[in-house]
Amino acid sequence: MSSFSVTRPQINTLYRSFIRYASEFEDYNFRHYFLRKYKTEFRKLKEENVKITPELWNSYQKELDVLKRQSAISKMYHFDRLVVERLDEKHHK
Amino acid sequence: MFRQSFRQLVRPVATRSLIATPRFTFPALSNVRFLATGSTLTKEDVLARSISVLKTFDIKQNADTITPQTEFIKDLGMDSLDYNDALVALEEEFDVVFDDNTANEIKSVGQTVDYILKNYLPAQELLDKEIR
Repeated sequence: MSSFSVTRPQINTLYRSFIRYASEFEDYNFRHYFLRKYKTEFRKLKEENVKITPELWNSYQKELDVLKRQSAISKMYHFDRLVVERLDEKHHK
Repeated sequence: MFRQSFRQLVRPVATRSLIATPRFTFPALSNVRFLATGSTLTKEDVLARSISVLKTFDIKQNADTITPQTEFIKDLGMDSLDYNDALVALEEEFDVVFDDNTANEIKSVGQTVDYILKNYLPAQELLDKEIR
């Protein structure tokens, strides 16, 4: 049986892709749901030191594809800004 | 008769109040943020904007003391997940994408600033103007 190993940079890259695509959602609720979901999920992986199996790794890759597709689709539609959203996203103060 | 006296009473007050407090005040020009012209994004700009992004994170160090030498993990007390969150936030701020090798190797704020300066593209309309 071939040994399967995932390096730390690979996981970092995967996490970054998740966060990147999640934050591209136009709709506030979806955007924040996915950001929350992957932040807690990866934190759990890190804290519980979960061993990444090939099955887990592949399921994440599939999930990433879904997220990529859905965030692209969300850009085709118009969503009204919610009152809690900043009009100017780049304004931090 | 009533009407006339009423007018006399009201008119001066109305005109006076209109002059004293114009209904529309325009914001002072200094408050309006203009887009930087051309691709002149200076190192100081990038650093200042990066710091204002980093301020939104839970960091150990006072944001005012961040310098290019500050390291994300060592000085700001971030773990690998926070650090990646910060990188993505910086990507959004400057419309750049950190390629995977760089992103995994970057340690200090200065390194991100250098990368952003190297890879930053000015807004599309400015590029169009230059072509014309």
